[in-house]
Amino acid sequence: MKNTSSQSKASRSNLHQAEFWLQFCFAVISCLGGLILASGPGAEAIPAIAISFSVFGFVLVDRLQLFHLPPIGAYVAMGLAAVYCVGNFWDAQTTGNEQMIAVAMLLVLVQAILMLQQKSPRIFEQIGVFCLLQLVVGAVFNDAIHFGLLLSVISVFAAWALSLMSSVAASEGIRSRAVSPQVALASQDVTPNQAPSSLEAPVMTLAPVMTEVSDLGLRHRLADHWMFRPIGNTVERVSWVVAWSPDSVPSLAGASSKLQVFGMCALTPAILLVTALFFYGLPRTTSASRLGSRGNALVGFSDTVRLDQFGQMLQSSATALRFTMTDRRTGSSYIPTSEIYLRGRVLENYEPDFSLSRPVSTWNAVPLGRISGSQRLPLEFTASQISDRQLYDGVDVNVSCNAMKQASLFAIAPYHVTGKSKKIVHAVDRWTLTRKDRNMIAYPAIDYGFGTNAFFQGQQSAVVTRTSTLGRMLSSTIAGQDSAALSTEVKAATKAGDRVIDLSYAARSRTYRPDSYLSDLTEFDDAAMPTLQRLAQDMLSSIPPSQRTTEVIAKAFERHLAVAGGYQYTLNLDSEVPPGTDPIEQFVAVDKRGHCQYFASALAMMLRAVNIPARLVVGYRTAEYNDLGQYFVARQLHAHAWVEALIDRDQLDESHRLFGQAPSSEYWLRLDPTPGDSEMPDRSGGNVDQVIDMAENLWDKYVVTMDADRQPDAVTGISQQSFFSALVQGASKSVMRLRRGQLGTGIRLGGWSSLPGVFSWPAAVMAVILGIGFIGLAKRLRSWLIRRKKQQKSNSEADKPSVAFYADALDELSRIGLHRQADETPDEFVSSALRHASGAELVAPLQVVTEAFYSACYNEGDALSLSRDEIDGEQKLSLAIEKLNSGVRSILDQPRPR
Amino acid sequence: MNSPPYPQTIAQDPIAQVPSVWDSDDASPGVANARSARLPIRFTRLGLHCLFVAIFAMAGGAIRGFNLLLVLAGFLVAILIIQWRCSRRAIESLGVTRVLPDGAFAGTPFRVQYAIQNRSRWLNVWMIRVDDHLTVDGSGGAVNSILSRINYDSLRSIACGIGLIRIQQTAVATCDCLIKRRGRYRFFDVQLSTSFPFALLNGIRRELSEETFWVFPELLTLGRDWKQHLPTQSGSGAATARRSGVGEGEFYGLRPWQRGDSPRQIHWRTTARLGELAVRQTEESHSVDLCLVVDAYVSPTEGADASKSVNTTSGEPAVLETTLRLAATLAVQLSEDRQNQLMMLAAGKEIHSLGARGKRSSPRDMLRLLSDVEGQQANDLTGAIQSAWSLSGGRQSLVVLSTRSIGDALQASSSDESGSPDLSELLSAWRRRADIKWIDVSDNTSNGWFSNDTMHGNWGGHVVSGRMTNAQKTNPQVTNPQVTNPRATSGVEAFADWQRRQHDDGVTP
Repeated sequence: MKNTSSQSKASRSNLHQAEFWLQFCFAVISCLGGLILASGPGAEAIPAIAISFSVFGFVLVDRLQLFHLPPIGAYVAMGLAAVYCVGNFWDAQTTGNEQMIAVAMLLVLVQAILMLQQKSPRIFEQIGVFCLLQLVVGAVFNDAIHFGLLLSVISVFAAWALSLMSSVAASEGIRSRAVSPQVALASQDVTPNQAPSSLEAPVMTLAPVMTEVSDLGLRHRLADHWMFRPIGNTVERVSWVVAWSPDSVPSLAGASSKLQVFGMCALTPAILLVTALFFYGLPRTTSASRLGSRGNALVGFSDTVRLDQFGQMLQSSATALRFTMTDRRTGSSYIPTSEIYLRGRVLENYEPDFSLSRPVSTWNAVPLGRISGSQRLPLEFTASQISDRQLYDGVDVNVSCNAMKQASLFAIAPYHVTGKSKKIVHAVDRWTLTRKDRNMIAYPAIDYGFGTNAFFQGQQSAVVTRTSTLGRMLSSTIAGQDSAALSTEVKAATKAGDRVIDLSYAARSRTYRPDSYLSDLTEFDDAAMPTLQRLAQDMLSSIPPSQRTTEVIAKAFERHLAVAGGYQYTLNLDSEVPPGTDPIEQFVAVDKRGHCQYFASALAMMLRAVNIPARLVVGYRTAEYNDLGQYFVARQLHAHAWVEALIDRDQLDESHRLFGQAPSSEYWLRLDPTPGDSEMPDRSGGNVDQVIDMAENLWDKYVVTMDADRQPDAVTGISQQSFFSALVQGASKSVMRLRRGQLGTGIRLGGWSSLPGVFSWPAAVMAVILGIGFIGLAKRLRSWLIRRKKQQKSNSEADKPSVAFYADALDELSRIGLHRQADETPDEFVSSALRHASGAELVAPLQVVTEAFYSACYNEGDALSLSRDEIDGEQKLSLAIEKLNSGVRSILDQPRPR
Repeated sequence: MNSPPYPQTIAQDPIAQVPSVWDSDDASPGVANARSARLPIRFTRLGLHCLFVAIFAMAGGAIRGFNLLLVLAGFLVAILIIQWRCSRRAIESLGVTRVLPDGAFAGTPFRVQYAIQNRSRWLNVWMIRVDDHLTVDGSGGAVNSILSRINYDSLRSIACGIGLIRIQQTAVATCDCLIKRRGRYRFFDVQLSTSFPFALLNGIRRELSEETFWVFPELLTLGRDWKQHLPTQSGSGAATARRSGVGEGEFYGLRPWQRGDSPRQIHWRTTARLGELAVRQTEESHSVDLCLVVDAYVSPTEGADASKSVNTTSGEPAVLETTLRLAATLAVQLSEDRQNQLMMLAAGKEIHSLGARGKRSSPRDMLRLLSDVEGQQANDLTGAIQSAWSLSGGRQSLVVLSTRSIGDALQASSSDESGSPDLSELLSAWRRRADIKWIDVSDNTSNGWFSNDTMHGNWGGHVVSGRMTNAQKTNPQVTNPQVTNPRATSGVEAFADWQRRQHDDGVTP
């Protein structure tokens, strides 16, 4: 009785535990499903509703059972929620984002109503279905990495819950208890009692004598069908047979916990593998679409930049782009020692607007010609002298730019074409890149690449060669003048047959004005900026004439703004600008505080004041490096503005290395007057941030933006190379590095990250699969061998006899190694027992048992049919069996010889 | 007379040597050969939802380029594939054998066991559900077609389950059942199903295993003096006394010779061995040797009030049921003593007979006979009495259990113009010997020696052998009655116990 009650207790415990975990899992799923819909503004209420109702439902409805929503109330609530949400949906002015929020809200509200209902398998199924729908909506509108993270967590809990549901499904309709037949016979009530557990079928009372048979047949079979069965308890119908199974439900509930472990350990890898195979193997017909990015695209840089535009950008840490730099010679990551300037847009015209109460200035780009802004990237310049080639570092840059609202891209000048430059075009003499496909409302993420020789020993060159006259000619505006006005140079170049020139275009070009661009670069309103002019003149005069080169002058101005002038960097632009005052004048004369746009604008104006051509360049300045992924990150807060001054070659300082770019008579000198430490690279971020950033990068690269172009790369892990050749190449490179003593940049993070190119995901996956296959094969072989040995052993043994006492005797003797063979008769077995070392003393009782066995088998009448005249026949057998058992026990108790 | 086709041999050890459905040569006789069928994997409700969402996600992702939809679709497809393979593999590796008890008493729970084998070498099988189907068998087993024997209106299913069966092991699932009405029932398909691991697909396997199962009449409670209501002179002692006038009684031991002992009592073999005289000790035999005839007469008024039922053997009048119950109780009680010789006939729609003079009928067969009895107004009681005389050779006592008085029966017989012998004349032979007892069950005044209280309220309820032992007295209100020997802690032991009882009953060697 004690065993029964303890078993019963354990069974109840299993049941309650399974019920608890089932409720818990679905509450978590409900909560996470709401979280997955939270994205962007306007959806703040969704996660709040999901979390609160999940907790509320689990604690108050499921566990404490304080109340629950009746079915009719649930239907009414769902109807109201649908009316509320759909009403928002059909509004003509509702945007796509708002429609998405309406759909998400509807899903969350319905799921919240389900959580308030009393749980049954049907309710659990509906919660699961709504979670699936939430995943679908989330997949469409939310492509952030937290979708992937939440999906993983939801998957774990969903698998857990489904394994519990399989036990619920198996136990559906199985009763575990029945009342006493006496009590049941006296009862005329066929309505079942309330089940204590949702996992347990209602207690079944016995039905009285069945009086009506008319309800049987099709109607009852339909009522039994799961589609028509009402939610919740059902009324049992009359039946002439009652069945219950006390052990089934606890057995099923108890096994569910073990099934979870099995599911996690054994099935998860298989599911992940199939998912990966499906995702990466499915042929793509369209490019990746990102609805989520349309509302969240970054601002980007256009050809018009307001002076206060950077203030908002500089406060955002959203990632604008990620780029890798690879040393072309060694193949390893190239990490500069200073900050990297990525140019986005070049702006020449400065236009203040005094019509507003608070004057605002804008920098605009001079309109480009139709062709000049859409050129292919120039070819790489290769120094004619081999010794010169050692004086610059050839670097390949691969950029992953996030979605932006502008077509402009970012580059390190001077650049040249590589294999990844197909989607981008180059603006002549501005050294800026743009997407080939323009005229879109928003531009999706894009991957592109270029090469650059701008670096040497980790330092980015501050000078960029000016495009040749021929090249610049394409950037001129078309004016209606006679072709005879073309300069001598152009004519000479045309005659040389330079392929760059489109002769027909050149013929159509009426006027080439080489100075028109320069005039834009020197345009200065001294009336609007007297302080600036005076400052420039004063500084100019302070430089000794013998040292007064253009670069010296420019550097002096730069130093003044950055260091000596007492200017302060701030993003807070709350100072009042008097009407009619130029903001730059205000900055220089009064405020002396501002952000990089003000500093750059002031420097540009100062240079123009002394007739030095200068233009504004906007882009990113970053030194953030992710050691884990070995790439640089440019965020919105890295947006920067600097100045480029056009300086003649002979005015440049000799320290500038110009070997990596085509020689020219003029160069663009980069000047950055913004105060701040820009010497040491900023390897900021922390390990956690780096991990998060890399995860986002991988998520974006290998999941969200996966398309037909990326698929081969994703599958093989290495682009444009065969797997094995890349493996060999990577191995040889790593050996070379080891010989040189270079252990890679990621050494402090350990292991694989320091050997890029050797580690390959496909190889790792293959190794894991092979390893699992090998282990499985070894296990199978071992079990086959064991089974074969057992079978051989069992084949030689006789079948178990049907006479119970003889079978028991044989079992007892087998404990000491005495096995009756298949070809042995009982008598022969006695003889063989006699020969056995341990069996001699057992022969006598065994003989008695054998004789009794023969009698039982072959004599008619009762078993044990010894002679009726022998009064102790049965006693004799009992004594023999007892002697046999005690003999076996004594043999087993004997100490075994060593 | 129809002899019901009772199986002559019983499955030897259904648990330890489970007759595999794949090894038809080894199938024990008496267990119906089973055929198995694996049904297509079916989607559950949740599985259908998953499939729809997966298709939608796949289409949306492929057409519109939403990679996350493809991730979701891939995930769902992976789960469905894994579920499909697991369900299929699990259900293919399963085999089931139903183990029924030999019979059960109406209103007394009995246990059905399902030995489920997992033949897989790799995979444990989880969450197995067993659904069995049974129906009332009104055809007497004569029709060969399964479909003809299925009474769909009375088709019911019972269910049980097991959480886990490990690799290459057999587990036993049990289901306790209770059938209120006596009769013959038929178990049909056993269906195994599992939706392991994620409840998205249901793998189903159906074992077409047909077995007949008898539900015996409920036993009554007999008073202490119940034997006095049987004929006064009965048993072999009585027959011997009639022949020789001397009843020697039952041998039970030896003792030394004492003055006064009859030389006929000397046991010569022992005397030779011991060297001194030894005599047999005997005990007067109280064995019973009688013929029990059940008069399953249904009066016209009682037949009109009989409840409609799909069970052709139910809906009988209460008096007839009580009669059958009394017959069953007497059969069980009298069979406890191996010395008793009992023959049984029943006159209902047909005449059923069992046993013969000198041959001992098993209580199980008698109970089965009683299970099949159907009452009728114009039953051939005379023919049954005539058969009783011829089978017993006129040497057995006669006990008639009837729903009417002897007067009514004689009157009905005399008014019968079919030319059959007169009942009165047939009974006169026993009357002359005072070797007949007519028990009118409908007469409440003289039937105080038995009550309608069901025996399982006071007894533990051994249903497999039909032999009630003294050791099974339990509380009247049994909340979960044990349906097998309480000493048995596993199905194997229960059946070993049953087997031993079979030996005692002399059913099998």
